[in-house]
This record gives sequence, structure tokens and C-alpha cells, in this order.
Amino acid sequence: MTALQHHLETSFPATRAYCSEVRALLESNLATLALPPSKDLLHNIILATDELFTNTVKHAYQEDATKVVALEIRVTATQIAIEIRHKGTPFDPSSYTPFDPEATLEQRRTGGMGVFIMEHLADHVAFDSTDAGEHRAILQFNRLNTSN
Amino acid sequence: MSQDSFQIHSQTKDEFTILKLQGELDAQTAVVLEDEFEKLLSKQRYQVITNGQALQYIASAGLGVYMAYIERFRENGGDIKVTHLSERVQHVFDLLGLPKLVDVVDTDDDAMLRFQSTS
Repeated sequence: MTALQHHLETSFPATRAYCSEVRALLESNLATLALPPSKDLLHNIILATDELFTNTVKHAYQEDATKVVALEIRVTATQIAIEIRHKGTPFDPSSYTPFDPEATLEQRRTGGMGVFIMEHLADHVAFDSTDAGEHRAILQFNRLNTSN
Repeated sequence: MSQDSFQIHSQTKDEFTILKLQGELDAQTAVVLEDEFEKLLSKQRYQVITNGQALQYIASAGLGVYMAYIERFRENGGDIKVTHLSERVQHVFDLLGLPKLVDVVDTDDDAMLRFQSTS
């Protein structure tokens, strides 16, 4: 297992009012690494995480601000992983209609844009659940990816 | 934790309304842009330019506002045109295929010319 260079666990109330705080936390943690990600990669991480946090607030907890969304940042020499955990309604990929950026305005639906962004900006996206009833999503970003 | 991170400065120039977007347009602040579009519809100001020169960040919720409202302006002979996007914001527009649906041009003058050429 690769050694962690940076690790942070925290949580936020399940309300979209905290989107900007989530972004600020990522920026303050990642931009100050000894070897920080490029500005483009940092933006990709912030945007994908913002979309994941927003989806969790809206769909897992229906914007119930008394609930809590856990957020974990793990940085190794080769990867930055963002994990979000909750105990609300889990995301069901089988019932999700993918967003189509080629669709016309009439055909287009706004739902699914967040997952589309996550899948395009992260190198790997995973959703799973634990036996303890906790649901998690992990966004992984390769630090050595020159395309970022 | 408020909507202060996003502001709109509205200017009118003849039949055009120029909305200068400033700050971060996300799931929390998207309602500010929705409210502005609603106000313009109620005032029958249908020729709208959103200037993104000071727009530092956009999430999908912000793009969803354009998709939700643009048809209502077009039905009334108008449009929402988009100008002065930063490279970063333009990238998010491109990722979600918005330039196929929304007229994105360089400057406000370009947008006004586009309105005039299609009226």
C-alpha cells in the first residue's frame, strides 16, 4: 500500500450552502502540498467533488441539513482520492439515465450532469456500501497524468 | 455559506440587457441567476447577454439554469447569449455540450451583432 502524504477527514451538514466551503477546503489542502497538483487538475478535483457533494445533499439526504456528509482526502505520491460517505439513500447506477451532451435542447434533461462531470474528470469513480449501512463514493485522480 | 459568493450586475443598452456575472455559480447560488432571468421575463426584456468576465467558477447547477430558461426567452423572440468566458468556465460549457445549444461569442458587441443579424 502506498504511503499517505496527506490525509484529512471531516464532515459537513447536508446542505448545498456548504458547497463553497467544500471547495475552499480542497483548495487549501491540495494547493499547499509540497508537490501541488496542476491548476487544471486542482480545478477538476474541486468541480468533481462539488458535484458529488451536491448530489449527496440532494439525492441521499433530500437537503436535510440535520444529516451529515463525511468527506475524506487521501493523497499518495501517485493519487489523490476524495471519498464522500453518507447514511442516506444510496446512488443506484442501474436506475440512472446517463446524461447525453449531444442531445438537443428538447431531448435534454438536466439530471445526470453531475455524474457525467465526475466520470469525465476523475480517473476512476466508484460507489459502494458497507455492512454498517454507510454508502460511499470515491473519486480517484492520477497525479502523474500529463493530460491533467 | 450564503449566496454572497455570486453577484449579478445588470446593465441595459437599448433593447439589450447585459448581466455581468461575478464570482462562483454553483448549486447554492444558481437561484440568483434564476431570479434574474425571471425578473427579465416579467419585464419582457428578452434579449439577454450574460458576460462571464468576472465569473470564476461554474458547476452543473449553473449550466442547468441556462438550459431551463433559454427556451422561454427564445419563445418570445429573444435569446440568452454568453460572452467573455474564461478558459476554465468555457471548458465546463464544452464538457456538457452547451455551445451546441447556447450562443457563446467573444464579446458583448459580438452578441449584440448576433441579435441584430437574426432579428
